[in-house]
Formats: sequence, structure tokens, C-alpha cells
Amino acid sequence: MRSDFTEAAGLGKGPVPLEPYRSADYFELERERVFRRVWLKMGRVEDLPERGDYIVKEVEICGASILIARGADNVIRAFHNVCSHRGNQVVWEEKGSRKTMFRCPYHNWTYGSDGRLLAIFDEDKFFGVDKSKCGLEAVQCDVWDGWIFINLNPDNTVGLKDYLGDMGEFLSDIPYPNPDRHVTIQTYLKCNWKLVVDAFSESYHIPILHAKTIGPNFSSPSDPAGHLQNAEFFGPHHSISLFGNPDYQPQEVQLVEQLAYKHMQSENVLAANQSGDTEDLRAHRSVNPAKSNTWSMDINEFFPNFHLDVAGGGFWTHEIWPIRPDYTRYEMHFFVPRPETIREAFHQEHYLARLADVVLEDVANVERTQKGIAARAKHHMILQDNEVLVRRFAHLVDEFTQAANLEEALERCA
Amino acid sequence: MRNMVTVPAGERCLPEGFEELEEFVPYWAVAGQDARRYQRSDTTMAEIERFYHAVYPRADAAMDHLEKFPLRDMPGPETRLKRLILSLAQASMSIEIHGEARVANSPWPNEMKIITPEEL
Repeated sequence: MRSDFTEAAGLGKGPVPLEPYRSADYFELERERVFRRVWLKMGRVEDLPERGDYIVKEVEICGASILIARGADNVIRAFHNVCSHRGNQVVWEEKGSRKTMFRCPYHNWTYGSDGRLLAIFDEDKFFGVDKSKCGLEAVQCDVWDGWIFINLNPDNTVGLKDYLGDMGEFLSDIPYPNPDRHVTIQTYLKCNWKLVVDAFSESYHIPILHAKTIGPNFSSPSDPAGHLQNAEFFGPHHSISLFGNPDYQPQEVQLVEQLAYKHMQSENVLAANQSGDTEDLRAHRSVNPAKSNTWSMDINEFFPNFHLDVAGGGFWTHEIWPIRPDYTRYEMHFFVPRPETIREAFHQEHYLARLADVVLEDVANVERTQKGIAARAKHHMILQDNEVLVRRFAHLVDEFTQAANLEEALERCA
Repeated sequence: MRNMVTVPAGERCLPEGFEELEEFVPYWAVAGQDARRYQRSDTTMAEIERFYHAVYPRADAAMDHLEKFPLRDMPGPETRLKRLILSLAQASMSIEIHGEARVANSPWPNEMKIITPEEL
């Protein structure tokens, strides 16, 4: 097994500055040079399965509301959710299905699902509006492996495929189980967005902070710190594999846990599915890429704010959306099968209840960390080798904030 | 208390054989995972223990009974029993994992929401 991950990533080993976690000036650079330049993940194609289906997503740091619609021609497009008339939002709900047109609820200006302006209410009283020039403002949109991404820079010249680069190749064609059904855990956190990214980028904390909830699954007497099993670095993106305790069993007093898992042949407590339903997932070349036999899950991080975590029994995602320097929206999506029996529903309730508590442990933790950093008592953090992604992410954001454009940022991170 | 279950007049509260669990229905037989999580978070460890120790011994039998019905189309008494049982999974977090009602040192109330594709 590889150790020296930090060296393999080409990074130094010194302390890492804390200022980017508390600086309003740095946050402005992140707004302009990260979020307004990069490809951002919005959803999955299964979120809008039929022609005329749509979703609306917020990108708070850019003040953007993005409408993503599947047109009558089956093409998925993205638009600014802004009416050409007086700037109101055209779509007020978070999602909908089978709409042939979007009608602004303010004055009934009506757009096609391809963004064209179709009709203006009381058009005669306007002063010669050229409807062909008043469609919804298109946003660059592309799909990789079922994941929908947008780019908010209208002049962007780097395609999604080039942005994802080797990371896209590495993870392509994963047979995702239950991509069409997810449970969301959403919360708002009083902390900088990068603290949330960091919280889900290392396993060093798991046996300690999550000692009761999932610690026993991610460490063992033979590896009490649950060391990384692998790490891969691809431009601004990266992937790590975490240790899993192959000997984990519920304790005797955990009667309900035993009952919940009685009918499950599952990989571990992070499994939403029966093992038999995820054999092809585990066989994928880049799921547990080191093919470690003490493996629990992979964390695949797409710069800057989308994590795609894959375990032997299923997958889930993290999205981390900055709002202000010390305020963040955080969403996890757990992709779970549709339960058909009470026993399946009971297992799923137990599975998600535990994960919600894990999130709660992290939530309280990042807010405390923000307070600590804001005190300005300390100016650096000290990182070890298994925290390599925390170090690398700080480095990547720094490179982006210094680059003149996305091309240069990608070169700097190569 | 945010949620409270009421039984329509003239309807059984729970299926025959599960009468001893009826006292837990108003608080614990709520619809949806987010509501059940709220109930568990908004009460005391003593109440969670009382619920857990009453329901766990009947859980296997209750699920055997409920397996005879479609998960999403059960009569009222079975629907309430289903939700009681699902609440047991929530209560078990406090009893079997934390040893206290909620995650230690976590804020309550908090802003966390669980958004499910359907309310079982």
C-alpha cells in the first residue's frame, strides 16, 4: 500500500494558512475566480426524466437561480431563471414535470422549454419588442455520465470533458444503483464552505468524532486511525479510498440494528442495497481502485464543491454551496432503493437515521471550528499525511484565485 | 410538540394484538422520516427508553403482520403500526448508539432537514 500521499501529490509538508477560511477578501476571489469560472454540478439526468421536466438550482455565491429543462427535443438546457421583461424569476418552484412552456407569474411572458420567448401578454402596447432576442439567457450546460453541470461564465472556452480531464476518464461508466431515487439531508452551516469540504475529505477524524456512530466501521484494533488505502490526483480533482473494518458486527445490545440488518446481505452500514445488487458496482475498475480488502468507500472530489462517494453497497453525494464567508448551504443526497416491504423500509429508516446523526456530528463540529479559526489565535493548521486532501484543496483554491482564467488555473493544477 | 397523530372516530387505533402499544401512537406514529426524527430529537431519554422497551419486543411480530399488506396501501391501524415501527429505528439511535437522546454537543433545534421522495 502507498503511504507518502502528500509527496505523491507534489505538496509541501509545512503548516497551511487559516486566513482563507475567515477572509472576506479571499471569499470575493473565490466568487469571481472559482465559482464564476468552473463547471458546477447541478443534478442528474434522472432528476428530469421526461421531456418538459425541469429543476431549479441556486448558486448563491453568484446570486444565480438556474433553470434546467429537458426540451421537447429531449435536450437538457440551462438558463438563468430571469424574465426578459423586468427581471423577475420565471419559475418559482424547485421542480416540475412535463411543461411545454414556462409562464412568468408576474405578467405572463411565456417561454418554451428551449428558452425561446413565445408570447408577450398585451404585446400591442409595447414599442416593437423583437421576441427572437428576448429568450431566457442560456447558461453553458453539459452532461457527463448522467451528471448535469453548468458553467456561469458566458465566455468560457473549456468544455466539461476537458475540465474533468483524467478524473472523468477514471470514473466513467460507474453503474450507479438507484440513480433515480434519493433522500436529501440539507442544512445551513455557520462556517466557511471550505471547512465543510475538508470535513468530508479525510478519515483521520472518523474514529474520534464519530466514535459511536461509524467509528467502529472505519477503524479496527489493527488500524486504529483507519489509514487511507489509496489516493489519486487528477488536475483540480482527486480521489481517496478509506479503510473499512472487515470484522464489524453490531454489539449484542444493538437489538434494533440487528433486526434492521437481519434480512440484509450488505457490505457495511453504509450500504443502502443488498450486496447482490451491487456486484457490478464493486467490480468497476475505479471503485476501490487499489482493490484493498480492508476498504470501506471512495471519496471522489470534483473541484470545487461536489463529492461523489462510492461504497460497496451504494453511493451518495455532497454539495457544498458558499453563501457568505461564514455561511454555507450543505446538501447530501443518498441514492437509495425504493423499499417494497416493511422490513426494507425499516432498514432504510435505520440506515438514514444513523447517517443523519453522523452529519449532525460533523455539522456541530464545523461550526465550532469556524469559531476557533475566527478567534485569530492561530494562523495555520498542521496537517498529517492522511489529511492530504485538505492540504491539496487549500493549494488548489489558492492556484485558482491567482490564475487569470480557467485555462491557466487548470495548468497550474496539472 | 410539532406533530400529533389522531385516530379517526370509529377506527381501531392499532391492529388486534398490538393494543398495549396504543399509548405511543399519538406521539410516535407520525408520517415521514423527518417528522419521526424530530419526535425523537424533541423528547427526553426517559421517554425514548419507555417507547423502545415497549416496542422492540413486538417489532418482529409487527413486521410479520405488516408484510401481508402493500407498504404504501395499508389500512389505518396497520399504517399507524408501520410508523410506530419505523420510529423504533429512530429511537434505537439514542439507545443503542449515543446513550443519550441526541448527538452529544449538537444543537437543538437545528436547521437539518431530511427530504424524502415520499412520506411513509
